[in-house]
Amino acid sequence: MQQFLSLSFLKVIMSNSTEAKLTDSILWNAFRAGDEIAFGQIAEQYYRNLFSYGLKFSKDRELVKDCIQDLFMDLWYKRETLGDTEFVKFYLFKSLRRKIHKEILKNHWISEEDDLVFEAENIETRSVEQQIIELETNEFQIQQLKLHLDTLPKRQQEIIYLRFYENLDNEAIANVMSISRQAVANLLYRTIRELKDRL
Amino acid sequence: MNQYQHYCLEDFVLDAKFQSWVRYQQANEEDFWQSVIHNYPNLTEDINGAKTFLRSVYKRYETQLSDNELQFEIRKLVEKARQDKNLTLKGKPAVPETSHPYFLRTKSIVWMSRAAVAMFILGLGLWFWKIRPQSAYDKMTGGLSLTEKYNDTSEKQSLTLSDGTLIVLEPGSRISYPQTFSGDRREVYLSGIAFFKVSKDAKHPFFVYASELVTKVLGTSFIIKAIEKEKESTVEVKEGKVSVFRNPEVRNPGNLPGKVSGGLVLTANQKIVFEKESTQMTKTLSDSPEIVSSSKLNPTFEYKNTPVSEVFYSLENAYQVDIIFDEELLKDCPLTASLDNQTLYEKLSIICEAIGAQYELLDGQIVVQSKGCKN
Repeated sequence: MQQFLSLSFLKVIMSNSTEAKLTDSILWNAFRAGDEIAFGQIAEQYYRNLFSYGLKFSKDRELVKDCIQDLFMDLWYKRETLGDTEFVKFYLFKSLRRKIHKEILKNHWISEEDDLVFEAENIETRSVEQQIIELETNEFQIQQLKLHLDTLPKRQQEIIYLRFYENLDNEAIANVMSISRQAVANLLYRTIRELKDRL
Repeated sequence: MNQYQHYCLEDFVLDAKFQSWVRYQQANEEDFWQSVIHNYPNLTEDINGAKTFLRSVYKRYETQLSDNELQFEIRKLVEKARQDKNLTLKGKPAVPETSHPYFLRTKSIVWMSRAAVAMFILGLGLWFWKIRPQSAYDKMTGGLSLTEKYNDTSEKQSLTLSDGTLIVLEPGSRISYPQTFSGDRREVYLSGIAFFKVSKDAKHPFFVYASELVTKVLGTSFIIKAIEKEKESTVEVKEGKVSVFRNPEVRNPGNLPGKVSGGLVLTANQKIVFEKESTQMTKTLSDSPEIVSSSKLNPTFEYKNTPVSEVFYSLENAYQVDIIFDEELLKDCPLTASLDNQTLYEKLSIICEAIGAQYELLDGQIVVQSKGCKN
């Protein structure tokens, strides 16, 4: 944690509005001072995103929830040594990935050398209701593109996810996934081109 | 808005403001992007493409989590944080880094009463200690039927044990030993400074217990300095080999339980320094290494165009120390010198000066740093 906080070159775009930033920092300072309500609000801010990301590595919702609980409790115990809020999102994603990796290793689902596999839920597992809503509101193109996303290599999918869904920049993505920034940039560019051709 | 004038699809999908519009479809953002399209109609195709692109990503990766599920998880976190805070306020010493807070809550009363008892015992111990300081030496020898020798003179005193081992005791030092050794081990207890010349008997290893250190010997000579009040204890070997361990029965408050396994082996002219406060054991060389009598008789240190690597070998032999150097680099460096009257360190300084090298002591060895002397 300390080490990562000192990596000042890492920046995560959190919010464009100054006002939101101000509220964020007030909340963050209250949390660091030991306010558990502020802590809950911060957790709430990130919860859905973390849960969604975690679920790409394990289909076990309870396991992902447990990992997120641990993750935030670690943050709570370390609150006095934490630095600025701009690194929080990046740190949480990286730590969650690591925690899930560890859990999965512990249960012998993968071997030490294997990285996690990024995989979205099967479209078929969604309720009929959801599928009808999607059919009503989305054009054929979107359906096609969604299907095409699944055919992309898992790494490319994860980069797309972190870049578009979580708004992390290339530097942060490189760190979360433990690959080079150049690799992120190349893969991202290639993926956008591929998807664009499908339009 | 001008910035978007030259945007293409790739730029739009990467733009945070654009992403947020596609994802959350807020009314004010809708107006903004409609006006962009109105002002730059040529962008319409790219904007629509980017929109479709992002929408499919968001649709594909969205996850269902009900508000109830979310609120339940958040309440759990807030509750855990509150309990942790209460524990800390009540004076629990350290914040648990990894342990589970629920565990702490249910056991906290038990723990606190245990802590109180521990404090009481500690206080009682401290009180006793103030009246009559009980040293490690006293603790170890208490209850054993041993003979004690205390040197209250101002001269060194020597004594011989039943196995023929010679001990020279410095003034103010004391040693306890059995009249006759029995069992597998020969064990003696020291407080202060003493020189030992232990009779060889491989079947009955010789142990010296001196405050925090245990020195195990097969047959050799060495000096132990273990004065209760001083910050350091040392064991210095004159000849042969000894192993030194932390004494698991002697612990300073706050120390981790001692481990017998973490021993260090000392050979001739090596020394161990044990810092009591940090419980660090460091291996180094004696302050004044001596020529080991068992090595070649009357070694001479007269060199005439001798390769410096050979010079180092002769020193290694005489003092039984390890000298680490790059043989390849130094084999062609000749040395002419007469070094009979210098100490080992003086000899090394002169040699290094001559060949443009430096030496340092590292982990009980001499390391020579040189770039070679080939021109």
